[in-house]
Amino acid sequence: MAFLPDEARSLPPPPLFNKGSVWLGFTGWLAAMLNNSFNQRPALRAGVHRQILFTTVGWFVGYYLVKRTDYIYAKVDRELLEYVRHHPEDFKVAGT
Amino acid sequence: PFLAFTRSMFVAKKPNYAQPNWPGVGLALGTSAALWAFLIKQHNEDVMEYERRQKERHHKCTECS
Repeated sequence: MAFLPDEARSLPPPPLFNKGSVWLGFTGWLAAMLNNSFNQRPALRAGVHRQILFTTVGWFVGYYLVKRTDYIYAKVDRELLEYVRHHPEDFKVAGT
Repeated sequence: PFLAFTRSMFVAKKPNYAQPNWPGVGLALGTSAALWAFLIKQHNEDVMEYERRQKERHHKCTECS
């Protein structure tokens, strides 16, 4: 499967500020700070351009991963509901 | 310091840590700006495409042939 098939565009896109982006952006920032520590530079004040770059890359990757996650969940939901629709005898409400 | 790659001793230079690595800074900030611009553009396009498809799906044809 392609990373994002065309039908994924029929789903509402995730907001720019979303869980995956925030978390991966944070891990990017953490990576920049670790890089500072390993090279014996002041952890927070050094290499701000690096911190910005790593955070941006994390945010970017996070957005696309969340989009794909939403697509996979929607696809599975659709298949599940299709199955339920095609097999109503297996899904009778209790008592009827 | 641990070097993950080797440089030929004929062309290697000692890195100068007294001054900021301005080309590096420029590249990093430029790439960040480009990535953000692309991401924001992509997001807006996604929103437009989603709304377009929603309208298409719920369009009840009355006067168009």
